[in-house]
Amino acid sequence: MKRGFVGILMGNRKFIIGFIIFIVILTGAIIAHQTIPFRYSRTGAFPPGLPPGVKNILGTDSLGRGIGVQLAEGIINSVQIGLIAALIGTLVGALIGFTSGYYGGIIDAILRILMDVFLSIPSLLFLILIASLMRGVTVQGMALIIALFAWASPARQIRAQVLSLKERAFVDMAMLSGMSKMEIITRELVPHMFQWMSANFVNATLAAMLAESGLSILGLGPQNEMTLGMMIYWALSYAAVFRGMWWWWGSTVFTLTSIFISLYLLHLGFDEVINPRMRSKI
Amino acid sequence: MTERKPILKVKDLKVYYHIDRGSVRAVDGVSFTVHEGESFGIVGESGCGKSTMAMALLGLVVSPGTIEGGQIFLDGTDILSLNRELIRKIRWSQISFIPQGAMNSLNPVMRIGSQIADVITTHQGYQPEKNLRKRIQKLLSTVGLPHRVYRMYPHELSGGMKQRVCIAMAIALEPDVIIADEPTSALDVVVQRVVMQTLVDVQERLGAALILIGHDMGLQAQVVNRQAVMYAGKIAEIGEVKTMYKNSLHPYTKLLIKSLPTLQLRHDFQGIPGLPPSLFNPPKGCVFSNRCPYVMEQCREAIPKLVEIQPNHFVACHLHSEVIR
Amino acid sequence: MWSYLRYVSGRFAIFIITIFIAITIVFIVPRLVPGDPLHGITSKLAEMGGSRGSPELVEEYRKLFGLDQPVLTQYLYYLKELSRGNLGYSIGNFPVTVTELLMRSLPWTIGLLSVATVISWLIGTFIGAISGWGGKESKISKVLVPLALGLYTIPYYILAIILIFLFVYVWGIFPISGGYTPGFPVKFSLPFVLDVIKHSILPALSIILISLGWWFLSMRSMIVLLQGEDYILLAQAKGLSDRRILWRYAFRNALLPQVSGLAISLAHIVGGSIILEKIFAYPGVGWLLYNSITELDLPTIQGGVLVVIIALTAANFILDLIYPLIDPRIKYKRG
Repeated sequence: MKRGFVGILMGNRKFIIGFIIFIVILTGAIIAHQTIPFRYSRTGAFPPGLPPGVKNILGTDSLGRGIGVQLAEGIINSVQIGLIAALIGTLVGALIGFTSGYYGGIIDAILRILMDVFLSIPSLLFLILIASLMRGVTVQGMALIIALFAWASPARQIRAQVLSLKERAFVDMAMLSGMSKMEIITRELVPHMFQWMSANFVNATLAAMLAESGLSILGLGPQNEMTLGMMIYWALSYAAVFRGMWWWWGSTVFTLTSIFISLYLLHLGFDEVINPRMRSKI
Repeated sequence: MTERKPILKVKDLKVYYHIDRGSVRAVDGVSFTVHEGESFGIVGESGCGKSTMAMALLGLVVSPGTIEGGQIFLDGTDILSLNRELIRKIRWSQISFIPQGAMNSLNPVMRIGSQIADVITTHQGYQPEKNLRKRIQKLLSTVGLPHRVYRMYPHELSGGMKQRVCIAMAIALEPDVIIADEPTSALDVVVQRVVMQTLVDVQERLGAALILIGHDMGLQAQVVNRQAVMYAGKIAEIGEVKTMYKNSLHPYTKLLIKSLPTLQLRHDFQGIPGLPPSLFNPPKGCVFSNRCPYVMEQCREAIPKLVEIQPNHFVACHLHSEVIR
Repeated sequence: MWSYLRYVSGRFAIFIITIFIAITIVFIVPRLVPGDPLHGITSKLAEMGGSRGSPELVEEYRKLFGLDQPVLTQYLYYLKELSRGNLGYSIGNFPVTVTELLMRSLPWTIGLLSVATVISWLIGTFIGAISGWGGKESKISKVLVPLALGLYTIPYYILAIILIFLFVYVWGIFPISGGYTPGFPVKFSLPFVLDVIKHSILPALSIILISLGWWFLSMRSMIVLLQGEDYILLAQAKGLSDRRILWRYAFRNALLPQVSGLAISLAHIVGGSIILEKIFAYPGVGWLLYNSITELDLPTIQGGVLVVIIALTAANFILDLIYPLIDPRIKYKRG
């Protein structure tokens, strides 16, 4: 069942395009990070404010640091934050969603209210509150903070899935009285869960990266490590737009946009694969 | 029986659906005539093309369906030759429709009164609200609904009430023909009776022709004057109801009647073995040939034509074309 | 009538519960961070040179936080002060209260957001409906759909940066930042209003252009979905004009999900606008929050977060009240 799902995904055009863009950006960043000398990212490595040239492909910033190096590091860190936060959020969310849907009753009522509250309140606000209280965040720290809010959406979706499957499981049970509940659950639920969880994971990554860049632009990102959001923060702090340093803010904006679009394409691809199959099954 | 003027004449109508896999011949050369004030039943199993035909009569065939051929004469005019705007004008005012399940056919966010008023103002121009209200409330009472339904929303009504609203709506413009597509199949038996009775009363009072489409031969027999039996996109037999029961000619009709339960005779049910043919690739000869207990050599070779064997009794079967020859 | 009241009281209860949970979270979070919450404030004051009545300030806060008392008492004290509208003093701006600061900045944010949201929702919904009804063949749709798809995925600030680059740096049409030109007399005069509008166009555009994409797409897909409904078929059989079917039958039914989509996306819009206000130095709550973050003005941060949540929840509640007017079935559904 798993192989069939992945196979279909690979055939979906949107999924493939998104996947390729994302992987290209990521691998490009990793390669650049490994090959470009570290000293390029030190302050004063080059004359400040240089437009793209032969020696530094993307120019330098106001402190004389190479943009290319920063971009590479930024991509890696931002993606790292996104993936970690998404992973934690999706797993925790799936657990909570499953518990809520499966057990029902009071547990479900409480968890549902919690989910709704977390979803209706802008996570950015609370993230601001939390991040501003912590002095000096690290990349991992940021991932954890963002993960605090990343669970709500997967939880709600998984819960909905469990609820609909629960009904079918009982109907099946009435017919196949020999099968234990456990068997039905493992055979029906788990493959479905896998599909939904991977879709949720992609969405959560997108949301987490959006959260990271948002927080960082406000200056709440990691101070000692570079992320894409922080790059924009620095660019804005040094009025890069008004100084015409298009290579500084432009490269970051372009990269961020590409990553967001690629993740969104992945999401669309998942949607197309999962939903029509769901519909045809029912 | 007095000679009544034909109000609807369908001639060799063909409606096909063109999809990836091929073309589905939903309606494949159907012809029949309905007279003024007559109640005419079209009966057939699911997938025989009767609903598609209803859509065609209303000019509502949309892609991937296309009208491949034939003519539909409504009071003398071939509606298939009309442009969109003209078709829109004759819809409802000359030929109206009662849908299968009124569950979802009424606009959930509009009051009943407004939905009926819609047809009136569209086809008869603006009317002051007071006049509309009185007129619509009178319509509602002819179908046995209280005046207060005027202000209600669809979800506040029961299934039977909604269906009766549809009936009231269908007669609002006093059309010449009313098409009812399985109007009671979504209702329980008791309500079925009430709704059917209402429909018949209304139709008689109006003097409109009623085309009743369904799969329940027994139910139809209580209501209609003449009946057409449809199978796999083609007409098998047309005749007056009494004739069909006492003296049906087409093997399919005979088997259909045998499969109806009766209180008097307690015998084993006879279903019809086999399955309807694929409408993608209809067989070369008669569409019923693979299930017909009387099948002959020529049934598999040639498509039988619909012929008037006795006055007002048509059948498309090689068994009987022999007689003519 | 009764069903409506029952519905309203249900939504009101949820409104109260959400605010309560938010208040509690805002209370708990600073206390979860290890260390004396006041320490952050006092060290900040020491940085500032301990001027401007700091002993009194520290005393105020000791009282406000009730740090020498058990947590529950602190909580109750906090609630009590909250109900009196006392959000504490702003550290950087003592003796200005947090409440005052918020009152000054709220109008800007509410003004910008409500105008931008309403405009984009209205335009997006209407164009989306027309596009959806016209179907996939329409030429306009072929252009609009990919455009909308491309737009709505990117966050507001990216578009803002691009807009600033074009309209401020390259073409110099719009002012760099702020809510109005500094020094301008702040009163309801026409020149002032025009000045305000000039300053709000870019921030508003950043929100409008991107949100438009989303409203367009969601309404469009809703209408396309609805076209298969039985009541649309019957409406066509009734010989109603295309226009009438679109607006009275399809549009009205697609409206409810659009409005509830508005409620759901409010949180997202608010989050994005905070960043926008920073980029444009627009004097709203977001700008206030940003500055409080850099100055570590904790009471203002807390107050700001709280007020925004309350405003959002209130907006949601108001929208809840509107639903039954759009869709008469709502009152009768549970949950």
